[in-house]
Amino acid sequence: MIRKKKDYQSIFYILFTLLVLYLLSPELSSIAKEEPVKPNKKLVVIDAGHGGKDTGASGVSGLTEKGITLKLALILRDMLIKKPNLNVLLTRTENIDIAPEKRVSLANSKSADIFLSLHVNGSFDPAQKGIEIYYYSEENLELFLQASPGQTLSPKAESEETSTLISTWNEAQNAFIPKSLKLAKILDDNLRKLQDLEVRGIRPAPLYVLTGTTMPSLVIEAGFVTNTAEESALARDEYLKAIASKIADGIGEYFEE
Amino acid sequence: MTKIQNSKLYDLILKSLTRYRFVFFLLLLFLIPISLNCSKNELTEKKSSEETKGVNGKEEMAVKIFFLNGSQLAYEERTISFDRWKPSKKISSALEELIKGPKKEPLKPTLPKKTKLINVFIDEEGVTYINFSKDIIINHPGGTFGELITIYSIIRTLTENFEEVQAVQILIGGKEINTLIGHIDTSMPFKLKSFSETSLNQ
Repeated sequence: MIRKKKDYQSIFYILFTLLVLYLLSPELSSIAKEEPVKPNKKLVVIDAGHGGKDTGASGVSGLTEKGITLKLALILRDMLIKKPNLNVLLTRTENIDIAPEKRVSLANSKSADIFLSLHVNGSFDPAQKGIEIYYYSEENLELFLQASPGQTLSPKAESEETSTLISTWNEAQNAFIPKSLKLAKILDDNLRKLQDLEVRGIRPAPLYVLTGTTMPSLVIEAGFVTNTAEESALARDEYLKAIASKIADGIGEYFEE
Repeated sequence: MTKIQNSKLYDLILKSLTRYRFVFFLLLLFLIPISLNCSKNELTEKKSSEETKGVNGKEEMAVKIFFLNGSQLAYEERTISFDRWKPSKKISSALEELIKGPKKEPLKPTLPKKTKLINVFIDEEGVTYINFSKDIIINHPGGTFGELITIYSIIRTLTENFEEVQAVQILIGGKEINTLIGHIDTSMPFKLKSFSETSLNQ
């Protein structure tokens, strides 16, 4: 009698574990499909700015920022993926609108090593042209402290580990500013190797799409669509490929150091 | 005869003085502040050539309006007039000049010409709320640089001319927005002095 009971028990346990395994298996396989485990590889998240209803800046001929950024992102992905030590993830691969917070949380949740947001510039002055690189600036931080006087201001002293664990959305990028700036300088140097292309330099700004990122993050403005010469250049694949190759070189260099 | 007439006249003056003393008192009340105000205005006129007294409570002020000059900002001087009793009006007058755009080349505008300024108000801590219509977004060329220049020109114009402005919060249709066209964070007020210098003087 007792023995029979034990048999039932063991059969029940076996069935239960089989059920659990069965339920878990699709999850496991989907994760594996999405991101094959490649140890020691760095993950670069590339964000094609704007998309869908949000066209971004546009030129006289009708060329839109959302279209250029997607094209550039796809070209850059194809170049980076050839490098043996890199994994690449795009925030969008088609013409869709995504909230900035979602772009950032994708990079954060995948623990990306670099977040690059690709954009195209605009100005009231059609003569303005060239590439700009922006990093997040904490200039506006004093205001947050005004709002809550109990806080202490030491974003640079904060370690990256504690920052990722407990910092608020608005302060998340502060610990990574030195690394973001280092990456910006490397990309700037590489882009300056291109001929017939103006590089305007690196600027700090309170950029919304970089707020909350927990890794070195930059916005690259690949040129002014409001400048007729640059607009026609940005419409050519060769031009985008030239820019992408220098960005890819820079990313490679950043991880070598 | 003349003596009697004289004493009668004195009586009359005395009587009228006592009877209408209230009227005299009122006249004095009016005259003192007017004379004081005149001398005060003369003093301020002498003190600063920038602020000049106008007529009918209108005041004039010379202001610097910042426009796009290459990749930097440069100013044009304008004279704004505003109601002396409504200090926020001088801020909106300066912003109206900014919307009008520059008069001389090579300066370029920083805001769309169709932008409508709905209203401006300033709180006791100096946070200045600037409420624009949606046109500032619809007719904007976009881009991080374009957006940065728009915001920077507003901030610089206000800091340069009005000491009472401590921070600037941009509103669209009365609401805080995350960004104008997707780049610069406008959800919080911009603290002026710290924001200004580093952003563009590279």
